[in-house]
Amino acid sequence: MKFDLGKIKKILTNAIFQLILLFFAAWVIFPVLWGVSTSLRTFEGIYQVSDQLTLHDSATAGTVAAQGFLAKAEYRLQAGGRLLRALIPPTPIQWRNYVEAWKKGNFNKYFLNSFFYMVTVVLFMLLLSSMAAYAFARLRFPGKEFIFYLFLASLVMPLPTIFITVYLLLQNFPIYLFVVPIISASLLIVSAGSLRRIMFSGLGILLAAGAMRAILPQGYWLIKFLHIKINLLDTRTGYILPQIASGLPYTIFLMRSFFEAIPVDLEDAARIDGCSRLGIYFRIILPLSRPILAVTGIFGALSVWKEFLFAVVVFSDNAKMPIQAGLLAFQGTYRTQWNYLMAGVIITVIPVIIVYLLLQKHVISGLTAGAVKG
Amino acid sequence: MLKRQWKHREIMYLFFVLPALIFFGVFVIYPFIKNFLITFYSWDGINEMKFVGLEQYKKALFQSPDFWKPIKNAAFLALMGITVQNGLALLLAWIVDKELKGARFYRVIFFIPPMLSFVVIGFLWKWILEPNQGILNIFLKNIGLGKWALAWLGLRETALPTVAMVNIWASFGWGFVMFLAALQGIERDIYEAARIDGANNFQEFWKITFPLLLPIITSVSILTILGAMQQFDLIYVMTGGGPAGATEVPVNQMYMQAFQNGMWGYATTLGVLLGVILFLISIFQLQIKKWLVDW
Repeated sequence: MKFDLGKIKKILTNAIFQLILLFFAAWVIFPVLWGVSTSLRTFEGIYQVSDQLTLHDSATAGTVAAQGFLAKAEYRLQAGGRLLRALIPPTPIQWRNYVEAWKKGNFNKYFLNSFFYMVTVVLFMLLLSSMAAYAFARLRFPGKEFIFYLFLASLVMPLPTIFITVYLLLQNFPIYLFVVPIISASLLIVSAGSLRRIMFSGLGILLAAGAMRAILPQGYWLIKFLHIKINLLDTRTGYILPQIASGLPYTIFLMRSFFEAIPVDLEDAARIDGCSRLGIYFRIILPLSRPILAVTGIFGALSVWKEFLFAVVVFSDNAKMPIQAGLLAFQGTYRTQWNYLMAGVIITVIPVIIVYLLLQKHVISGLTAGAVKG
Repeated sequence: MLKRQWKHREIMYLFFVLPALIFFGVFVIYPFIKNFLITFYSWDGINEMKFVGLEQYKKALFQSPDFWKPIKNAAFLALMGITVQNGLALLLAWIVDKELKGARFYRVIFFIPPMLSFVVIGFLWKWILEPNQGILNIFLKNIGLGKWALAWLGLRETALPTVAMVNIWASFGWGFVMFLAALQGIERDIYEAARIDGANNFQEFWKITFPLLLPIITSVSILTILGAMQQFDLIYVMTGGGPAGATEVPVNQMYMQAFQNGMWGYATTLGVLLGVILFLISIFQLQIKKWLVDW
């Protein structure tokens, strides 16, 4: 008897748990399914929802309200069932909406744009951050701690707090911002053998630059060249570069902890065989780190695909917009035609869902790898 | 400490870091510093910048609701996030971790919203919440709850809670996955032992699971807060900050001040103040983590 009681209790709790799961799963999936359903209706079909939901017998909403609790509950349950049935779009099913939306919304263009941004941002981000992460994990070099904490601090100054200045920067992008760091960095490294010499040559470069500014006339070509301002707004470059930069810190952290877990012996063996550090990085570390590259790559790609704030800020020209901003532009042309708009929305969702279902394991493990440690 | 001579080789290693550092310096650190400097100027984006000192901070903090009102709204989103959203995520993760029938299926389903962009989510929900043709209101009218069929996004009282609900829908999957991973890291033996000692489901949860999960709960909560404070896309698509500023959030406000009102200096001031708040929250998280470790 006692045994039975325990069993019944267990079945009951399980049933409750299942009900909770089912309810929230329905809550999660309903908006998406409703979008699909709407996208397959004619414009008139959208307005048939009300008919589909209404009972075609005597029981109207007014009479139900007057009835007792049980009758009300029963009626509401039935209404829930009808809600499910309303998910099925009335025939004829309008597959044409997708073709129409794709053509009218220029999704060809947006897909290509987004794909291009995704590939470039992810490639650059993976290359830059894996190199940096390798150095942080394995190598000793001057300023290591300081540079690492610089990246660390940036997690606290996210892009949304500075996007206005990034906009201003892109509007008037001075060439020297890129040229000067690159030239001085390479000069410093190639010429220097010691920290002291780095400091001296740094000082030298600063003095030389100051002297140059003082001696050379304002119109001199070199100064003119360095002060050329490019307008990167409304260009693909202007959209890609800040995104690479903003993705770096997080990727570097994930990769650094991954690299630290790779046994050092492997590298030592390669070094004894005369492999350089760069060779080790390309021949040993990169091939070994395929899992982490996949994970960070997927996440980077996903975040570029979903990116919206910068797209709105940087682009005013529709032709270069990525897909999310394109969707917004598309809404402008179809303000009230929800069937087309939903078709557009579903079009942007389909590739993501496919990738998610295929790479589910990578996606979830990547997310948790970062989190459980942090 | 002895000054150590760096070998040539070691300095060459800087080459590994420099590309990332240059990118980062140009697009994050430089704008960050410049952002801070612009806050002391009044600037319309076209004419000369005019030095005004701390005037704009004074205006944002004490004289106008441009800063505190959006912060309050974002704080509401954040509060709903850490209570309802994370509570829900934890509950669902805890149930799914019990490996009932269909657990795998639910795991896939609950992580679908985080895969979608806020623009898509905004549109999907905007259509459901549409005052006249939206399925929600039609359904409510049909089951005799017509008085609840409101213009959800159009009323000042309901707009923010509605957006908060959509935000919860959009983001609880992150917490769910992280909690689930943490739960699966807990040894089953502990539960077995508790069972033998006669613990029921709820004792088991409060006495074992919850304490073990506290570190990850704080992490996820902070991420939730930071995410909510920086929300922009969802608001932009669903309400545009309306009605009458009821769903105005900080990033939204910055965007408006800069691109619509042409007050660039003021917009950057709001950005810096938001940054300060985010910074304080992060510090707070580190402190809590420290306490948890000590404890």
